[in-house]
Amino acid sequence: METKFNINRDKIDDKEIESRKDFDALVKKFKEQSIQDAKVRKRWPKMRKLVYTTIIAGFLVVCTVSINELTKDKSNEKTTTSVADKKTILKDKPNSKFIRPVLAASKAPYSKYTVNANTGGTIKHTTASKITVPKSAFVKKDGKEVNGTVEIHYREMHDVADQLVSGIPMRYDSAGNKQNFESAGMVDIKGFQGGEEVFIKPGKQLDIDMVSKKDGNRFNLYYLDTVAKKWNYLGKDKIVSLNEDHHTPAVTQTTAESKEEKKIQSAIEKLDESKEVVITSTDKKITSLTTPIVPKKPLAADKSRKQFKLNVNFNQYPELKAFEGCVFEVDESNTQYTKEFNSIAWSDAQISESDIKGKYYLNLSLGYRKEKLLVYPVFDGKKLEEVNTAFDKKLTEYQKALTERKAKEQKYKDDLAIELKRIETEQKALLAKLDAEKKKRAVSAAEQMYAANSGKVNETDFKVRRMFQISQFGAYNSDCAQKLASGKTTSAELVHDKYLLQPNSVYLINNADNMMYTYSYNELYNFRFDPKKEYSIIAAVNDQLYMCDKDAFKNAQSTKDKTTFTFTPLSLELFDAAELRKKLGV
Amino acid sequence: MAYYICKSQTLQALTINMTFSPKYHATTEQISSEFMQIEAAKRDVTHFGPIYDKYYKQIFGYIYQRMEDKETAFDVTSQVFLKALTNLHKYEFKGVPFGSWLYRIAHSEVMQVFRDKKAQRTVNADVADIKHLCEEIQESYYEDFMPALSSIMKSLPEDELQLIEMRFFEKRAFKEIAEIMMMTETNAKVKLYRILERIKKTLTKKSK
Repeated sequence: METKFNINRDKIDDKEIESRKDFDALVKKFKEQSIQDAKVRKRWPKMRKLVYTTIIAGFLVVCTVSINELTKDKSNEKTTTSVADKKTILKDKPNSKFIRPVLAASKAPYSKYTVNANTGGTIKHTTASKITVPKSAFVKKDGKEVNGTVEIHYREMHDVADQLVSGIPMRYDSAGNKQNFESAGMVDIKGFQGGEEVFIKPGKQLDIDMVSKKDGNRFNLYYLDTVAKKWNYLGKDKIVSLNEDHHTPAVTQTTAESKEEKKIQSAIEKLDESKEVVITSTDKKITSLTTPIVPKKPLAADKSRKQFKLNVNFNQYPELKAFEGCVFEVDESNTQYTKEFNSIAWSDAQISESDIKGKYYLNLSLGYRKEKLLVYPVFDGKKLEEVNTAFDKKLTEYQKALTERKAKEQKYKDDLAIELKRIETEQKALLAKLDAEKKKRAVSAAEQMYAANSGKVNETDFKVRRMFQISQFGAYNSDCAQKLASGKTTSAELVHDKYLLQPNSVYLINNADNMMYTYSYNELYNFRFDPKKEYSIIAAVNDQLYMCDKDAFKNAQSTKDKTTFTFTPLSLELFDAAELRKKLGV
Repeated sequence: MAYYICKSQTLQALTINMTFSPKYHATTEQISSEFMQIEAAKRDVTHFGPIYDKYYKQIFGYIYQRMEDKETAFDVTSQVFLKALTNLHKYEFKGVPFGSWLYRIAHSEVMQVFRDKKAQRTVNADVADIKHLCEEIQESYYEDFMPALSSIMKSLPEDELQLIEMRFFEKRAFKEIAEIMMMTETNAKVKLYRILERIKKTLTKKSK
């Protein structure tokens, strides 16, 4: 059926949607279905005989068909053999596993650490990587919190040898474009209690601080979703540089802080606090300074305006004494005002400040009549001279008070600046001291680390620390997705002696860049590499490892469309990353 | 017929221009509390009630958006919740709202209905949504643009149509789209951007 396109279809009313909700019916249906399922399960033993008979019959049919197919295949092989200079095909057995070590017996063991689930703690890995577990960070499968000791299984992969041995896929699907990862380090972490898997509690995160041989921020962080069988992009990790002279791990992360460092750190924090205190107290002081009020210049009466005087016995009403001698002009907004107002002997008059500066409400009442006028005081004649003199005096006082206030405020600000400078100088000195302490500790930790790891992995290659948080266990990779190598495209033929190899996966390794490109056998028709670079190829067929080393790669025979790479078998004792690393020369 | 094609839109523009439904954005506390409810429902189905109430309208909306018949949409919604209850024991918390899991069930049920030919695949949009989509690929909206767009939309593969539908017609956040379609947020953005670019190219060709 063709897709239909509707524009502005009528919406369904929320009420109708609500009315169709029926949770009870859902539960009833669910229960009926559960009973039905249970009945089927109960009936199963009786049906088993019949089912098994059917399966066996089916199996026999499939076997017959397969034998026929095999016969067909052999005839095909013969054809291929003739094409490939009469070579016998060595085809790898099918393996659809997502995590597929280069050999079934490859060993990429986990380091096992314990941590108290209730209190949390910090785990230090042999490479100087660090895992910080917060308190109460784990739950069981049923969601219940885990108490007591939890076993953390942890491993790190830093180069192609590690990747091959672990079998963790290094291909990435970026919006349909298949790419290969250039890894700056990968971790694989799991949690167990009493052999049972535990999970990170929702809302909690473990801090991973992984040492890395690659610097630069072109690497992104990915999580391996083993259910969806793909890498999920998470974002960027945080990078901390290592001391380049010594190639030691980051100074702050190697071992626990020393007492001296803690002391200095606490002094720095105290200084931060005192900064806050000084700033707050200065603010308070400035706020508490009295701000002088600007005196208002008296207004001269304007004869053309409507005016009235209060005819009040000021001895009897002392609260109105302030307005003695002044004339009130009626604001233009009072449209109700008439001359009649002046002739009425009001029984009560109240003056209150209005919202408009310099203007007042005059509330007049006589019996039931109440009037409210917006008025402002003005002066004339001798009174005006008097109030102007008073105003000049007030203005001088105001200006003096304002200057004093400004001077005080400036002094407080200057004092604050001096105090802050003093604190900052002190802090700077402490930070330098702290840095020196950390460096000292880092060098000592690195020395210890190298001593512990000598002969295992070349940790001196570590350049940075990559930090990130995880909220679920699994494999995390700091990677940069790379397209297939460019330069030459050919159809690759893999040959060992009289055999034509057909492995499930082929690993093209760029020795210098520590980069691995994975090809499936079906993709070898589009085999790409840069002729200017050195490569090796690794392939496994039926648990036998084959390698085309960099010399054999250089000497590969090419025709127009095809390149034949010659492989040699690698020793069967080769099971771990260290041995593979030696053979690959990475 | 002539179409005016604007300068290429940037991916950033895609993220800035949209205003989308805030219903999906749950806090950690809300997700945690939902997790507790689900754990309770695993032990006793009657505890599934609050979850059912919370998501019924959203799931119905998702299903009805993709089909013509209202009654079929209600039936499929009931089927989705029945399936969710049946498979609740398999549900594992992965730090995202339970809704994403329900949407995946809904998607699978809807697709099954189409495969069984019990309903017709329908794309429902408002003029405003179409305008918005046009703005992403063109400078302005023209009514005569509709037939061409409609025919392009009909020819899109289901997953690409879903992306357009969720982003422009349902106004979902990329985070939510990514979780429903089981891809990364960046992947969703990049895919959508490529689809829009392709639509734009097709329109340019048609206009010529």
